[in-house]
Amino acid sequence: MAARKKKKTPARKTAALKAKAPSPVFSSGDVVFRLNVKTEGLEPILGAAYLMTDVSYVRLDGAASRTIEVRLEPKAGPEALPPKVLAKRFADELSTQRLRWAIARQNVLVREFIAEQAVLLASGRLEQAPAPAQDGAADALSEEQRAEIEKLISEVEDEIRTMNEKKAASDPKNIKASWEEKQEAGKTRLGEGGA
Amino acid sequence: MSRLTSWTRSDPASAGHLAAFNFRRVEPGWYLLTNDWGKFLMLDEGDFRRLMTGPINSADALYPRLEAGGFLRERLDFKALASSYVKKNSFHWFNGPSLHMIVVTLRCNQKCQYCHSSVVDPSRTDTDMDLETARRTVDFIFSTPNPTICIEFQGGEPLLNWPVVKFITRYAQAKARASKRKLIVALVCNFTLMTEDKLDFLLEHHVSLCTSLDGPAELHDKNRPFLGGGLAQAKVVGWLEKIQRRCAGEPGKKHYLPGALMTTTRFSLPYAREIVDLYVSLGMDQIFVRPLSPIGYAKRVWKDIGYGTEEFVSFYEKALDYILELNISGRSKIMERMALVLLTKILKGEDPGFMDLRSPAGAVLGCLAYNYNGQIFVSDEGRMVDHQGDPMFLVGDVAGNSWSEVVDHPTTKACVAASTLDNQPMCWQCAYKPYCGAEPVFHYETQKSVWGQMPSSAWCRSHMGQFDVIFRKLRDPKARAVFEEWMERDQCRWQENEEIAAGEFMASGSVPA
Repeated sequence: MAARKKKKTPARKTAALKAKAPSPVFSSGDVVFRLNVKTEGLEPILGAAYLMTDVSYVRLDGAASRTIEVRLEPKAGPEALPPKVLAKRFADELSTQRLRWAIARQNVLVREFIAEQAVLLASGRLEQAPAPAQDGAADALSEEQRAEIEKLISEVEDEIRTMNEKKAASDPKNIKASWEEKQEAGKTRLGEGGA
Repeated sequence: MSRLTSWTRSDPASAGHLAAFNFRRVEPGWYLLTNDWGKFLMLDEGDFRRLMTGPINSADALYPRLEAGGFLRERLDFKALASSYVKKNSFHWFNGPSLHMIVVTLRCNQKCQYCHSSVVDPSRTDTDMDLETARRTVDFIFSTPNPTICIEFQGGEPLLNWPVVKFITRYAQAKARASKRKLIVALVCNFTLMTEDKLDFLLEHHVSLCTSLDGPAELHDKNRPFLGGGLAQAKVVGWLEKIQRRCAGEPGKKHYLPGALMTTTRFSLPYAREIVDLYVSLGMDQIFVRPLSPIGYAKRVWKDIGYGTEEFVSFYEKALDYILELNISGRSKIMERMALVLLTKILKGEDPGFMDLRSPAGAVLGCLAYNYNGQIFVSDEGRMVDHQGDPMFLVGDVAGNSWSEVVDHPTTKACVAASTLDNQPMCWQCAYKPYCGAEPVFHYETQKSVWGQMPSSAWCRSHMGQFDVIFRKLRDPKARAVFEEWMERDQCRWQENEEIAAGEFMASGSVPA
């Protein structure tokens, strides 16, 4: 029997996101993280490192495909952070960056599509954006639907006919007729009677 | 703490159901969500946690709120979101610069503490724009593609080169008439050299007037002394009142009421209420609580007149709180200009035409600055950097370059790339991204790079702080009601302006009464 493919359930995705928090090493006042690029992701590592540049000097070393060492040297000044606080902040940034990049990656096509639609709309090359498809929208009508529509059309035609007849009955001298209607009526009488 | 909100490992998050959005914990108790299309949502902590930890089902009360703003991945209205995107980025769509700042002279009769212009003595007539350069400048301006042109006279003190101000006004209006384009002319001056004759000309030719008014006399005169000493504020206030009386007395002139801007220095910080009170007493309908930028001359004297970004944000909030208090109590209807700019983006999803808060920034694509000698810069700040000896932001010359050469210049491209927030490693993740902008000249001057480094950027800190203030106020129903009334009044003001053309010259050639 063929092995079943394991479905990626939300719980599995959560587990994938929630990797073991990397442990810092404190060395000569610096904070050092050795990060597995496959686990953490290159963009989250770089993003988190960038966000630390207000409170630390950041040095990156290693191979982008395997392991990156991030060394944080605290900056002096009123916003100086003790190494342990620096380490916690970096760990938090890294975790959040993984989430932000996950959201970004899974939505890039949607954002690109909408931006493309916006450009077309703004340039006048998109007169009307396609309407979103309705759930189970059918292109073809069922027999029942056709019958219903035919019935409605017939009722409306009767109504119009009745309305015109009533109008003729209430206005036998055609006083209410418009100029155009009178002209049309005159042409018809001439045509009927012959020259 | 990082200025981008953390969502830590201890809170499980399953990202698969999440649409594209950024988030920020503005203050304890609630989170702000925003997306590329300018929509925003404020969620309490519980709702935010529920959203981040699992899909929201359609029976949930949160569902319709998320759907309406484009925050549900499976319920995105592409057409509506694309339309929102077009509307909020209306400046993008192939228009070109609308604002053209012409520095007609570097001479000035004041020596303001913070002057970006790095002015020169009134005797230096060699720094006046001559008529030939003025003509070429206007010709260049009319070669740019935007159907609407706004010419803004700057200096130095523009009134010191009055003949060229008159010439440019007349010549530009003739060209606008001939080419059937919409033209707005504005004059930014210190009012100390205004005369009745000059005012007659300016009002007759529909020139909008704006001046600087930093606050009560002791503050204004400290910030903006005359060369050789003297009291400037009294002259400014005197002319403001005179022009107001004149506009009130002449039919069709109510839209020519002069505007005023204040610049915040260290000396301003204790006087938020007094500054607002002065503007209210003068009947001004707006006050622009502007920060000082460490560019040009101000950079050299920053240690004497500058302040930290947190100090400015605190000052801004005090001023705004007082303005809201006045509005809520009915004592005044004065509006704050920066709040109007931000609220136009946030509440109306429109672009208010504020060059500094665009992605990409207004440099070249939205505005150009023309020096007295015909050189063209990406902005007035860029011109200031040149005055300090660095031609980094010079992109052309009216005598020898075309519009296409200016827009194709490497500096133009660098500024555009650096100020497109999607290219910025921190900005693209920020909840304020749909409404914000990064200013390349500011970052070049303060961080030695047009890209800047946002985690330590004073620009970023200051604007983030102001956005925080605005969004906190939006949670208060009374403040929100005031903001919405401002939106309505601001809209009416622009609509009336289009009909009666205050400061505008009608494209058809008819000059409104």
